[in-house]
Amino acid sequence: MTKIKNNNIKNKIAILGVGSTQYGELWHYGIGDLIAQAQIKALDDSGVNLKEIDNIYVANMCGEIFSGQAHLGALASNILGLSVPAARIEAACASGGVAIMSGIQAILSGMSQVVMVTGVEKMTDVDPAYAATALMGAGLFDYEHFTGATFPALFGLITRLYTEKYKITREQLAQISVKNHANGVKNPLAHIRKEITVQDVLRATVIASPLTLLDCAPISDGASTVILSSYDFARKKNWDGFYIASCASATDTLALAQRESLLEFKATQKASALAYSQARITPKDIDIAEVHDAFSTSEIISRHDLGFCAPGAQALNIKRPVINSTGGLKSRGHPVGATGVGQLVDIVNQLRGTAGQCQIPGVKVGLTHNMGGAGVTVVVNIIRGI
Amino acid sequence: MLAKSSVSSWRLYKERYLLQGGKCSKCKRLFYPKVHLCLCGCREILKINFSGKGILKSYTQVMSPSWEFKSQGAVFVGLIELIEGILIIGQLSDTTGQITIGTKVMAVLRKIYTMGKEDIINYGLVFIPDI
Repeated sequence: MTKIKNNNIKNKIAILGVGSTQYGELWHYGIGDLIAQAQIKALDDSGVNLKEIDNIYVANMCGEIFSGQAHLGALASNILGLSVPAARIEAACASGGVAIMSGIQAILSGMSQVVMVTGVEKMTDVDPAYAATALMGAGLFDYEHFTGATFPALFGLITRLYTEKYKITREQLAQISVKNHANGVKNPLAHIRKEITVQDVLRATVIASPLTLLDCAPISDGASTVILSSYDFARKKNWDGFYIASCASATDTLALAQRESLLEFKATQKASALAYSQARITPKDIDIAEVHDAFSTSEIISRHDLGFCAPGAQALNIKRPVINSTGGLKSRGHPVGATGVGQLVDIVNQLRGTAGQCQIPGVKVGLTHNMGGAGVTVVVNIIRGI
Repeated sequence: MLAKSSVSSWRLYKERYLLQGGKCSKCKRLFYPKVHLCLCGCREILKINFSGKGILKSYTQVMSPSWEFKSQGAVFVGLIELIEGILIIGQLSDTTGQITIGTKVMAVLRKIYTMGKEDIINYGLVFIPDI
């Protein structure tokens, strides 16, 4: 776990710049094009000179499988014409969150002042069935994939247990996707900008019962970049004062069946408890959150694991914090390596007041929740302004 | 691409054919698949072959299968609580009619899928109703 030592601003991690590509089926662009687009957007946003970047991390799960391209750290450095230390970070769908954590560690260690973190995934060049096999690498592949399980299947098993335990109807579960699509319509970078109804969700193609296509985040291409720095560096720049107040991560068993409970994600509970503690706040202080809704069920379970409500029906109707205001993974899209970074981009835009039609007025404290596998790796960041 | 050699299946045959897992010699905790270290810190993990008999706790019908299962159209996957007291994920077969949570199931050896250019058959255990 990354521990930001105390509440002193000098130990905080400044967010200098953010940028995202469109998420979607981006057939005109390869993985390098996506990295470049996100990097340039974040650079322009930050006011950082290229020569000031000390270190680059690239979050990515399946570059060599989907694109035949590994060595993404060096690729990202090459694109900018740099020769700085650079590495790829892989933690399944939590790659982005873990890459951000690695960037924070590099800055807190004193080895770097300015770190660029780019998340990227180029998923739509392969058959979806092939992508389904690759994504099962986030679980215990030799055993879980061998049963015929896919990632939606693991959440299908969880969903049946959860909805029966807490008496949640299929219609209630569908409301999560309906809400996220309604938000995503307002986001020009979202993959699927289309409003849907509860009936649409229920009538959609079954992916892994009881989950339908509209319960599941899409397979997307996309990239997002954030540029982080030490406080000492940021205060000499035209920094708008937004910083990562805390970053915490935890892991759980890859094998879903080895969990003590399938009705909660312990890694989310551990990571969020530590993040709140480090930031010296409680869940009630969070105004806005990006919660990892790879499946409708994962948003419901994560809502209570993050301390926003009790399990079950209460999780369906919470007013605060505002969750997934830019569409979540469901509508915004889920290029798995980019997702954790993209969540941070969206929260920063909300706190700055630059979220366009997605803007929620008056938000001061934001949270990102990035999950890899079925609750295996979780990273929680808390973001606020000075 | 992801295609592995048949060796990767061969080395797992005890786990896949015999349902071999582990039992901590100190705290008696059970594991499937095997582990190298128990949560209690003990490194002496005994081999144990589970019975394959259990009760269905949850299930899903996978209508959008992964690459290796694509030719099968749809696959049923279940979460089973073995009579030894641990949970395991397994493929369900012979599920004529309605699948019901609480159904007694038992493991049997079946063809799972073929792999590689040689179409080498991978066998493994699937769970069928224990009637």
